[in-house]
Amino acid sequence: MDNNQSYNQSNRGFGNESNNNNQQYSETNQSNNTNYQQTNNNAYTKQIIKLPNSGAILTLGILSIVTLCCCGPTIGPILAIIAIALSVGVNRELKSKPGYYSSTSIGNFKAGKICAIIGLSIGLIIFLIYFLGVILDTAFNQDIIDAFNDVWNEMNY
Amino acid sequence: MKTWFKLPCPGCGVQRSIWELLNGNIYNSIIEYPPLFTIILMILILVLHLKFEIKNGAFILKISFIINSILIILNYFYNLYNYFL
Repeated sequence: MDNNQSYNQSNRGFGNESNNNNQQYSETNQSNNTNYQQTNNNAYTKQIIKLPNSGAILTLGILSIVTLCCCGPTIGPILAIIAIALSVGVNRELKSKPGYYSSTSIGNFKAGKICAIIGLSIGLIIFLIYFLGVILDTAFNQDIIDAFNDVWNEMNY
Repeated sequence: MKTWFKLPCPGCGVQRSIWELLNGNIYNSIIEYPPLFTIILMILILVLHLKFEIKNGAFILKISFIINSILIILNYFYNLYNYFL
C-alpha cells in the first residue's frame, strides 16, 4: 500500500494519463498480492496473454521424472536444469508485469518449477546411489585389489 | 544399466510392463511396474491440459507428479531391497 502510494506521488509530473495508468497498475498490483483470481473478475484485466515458456517449463519438469524410467539418471536432471534456468527468466518477466498474464499460464509455470525442483533432487539422489554403487563395487572387487597389491609390491617400499 | 553398474535401475521392468500392457494383461503390467499406469495417466492429463486448458489442471498435474515420484522411489527401493537380500 505505502509503496504504491509513494510510487504514484513521485510520478505526478508525467501528466494525467500516465497518472491514471499508474493508479490502475497499483490496483492490479494490490489484487495480485492478495489473490490472483480477483484480477480475473475485473473488466480491466481480461487476461488472455500467456506467459512465455510456461508450457515448456511444465513439460520439461514432468519429463524430468518420466525419463528416469527409461534412461536412468542422465537425461532427467539435465531437463530439470533447463526448466529451472528458463523459469528464472520467466520469473523476472512475471514480476515486471504483474496482472498482465493469464492465471492458468502462471499456474503452469509454478507447477512446472516445483516439478523441476523435485525431479532434479530425485535424479541427483539416484545418481548418487549409482555413484556409490560403482565406488563400492570397485573398492571390494578382488581383481582390482590384487592388481593394486602387485603394483605396490613392485615399487619395493 | 544393470549390466553396466551392477545395480537395479529405477526403470527396471518398464519394458516387461509395456509388453504385458500391449498384450492386454493389465494386472500383470501393474504387478511388473506399478508406476507405469500413473505415468501414462499423467502424460495424458498433461497433453489435454496444454491443448484445452483444464480448470485446476496445473494443481492436478502437481499432485499426480508427487504421487508418481513417490511411487517410483518406493518401487526403486523395493527393487534394491530385493537385489541385496
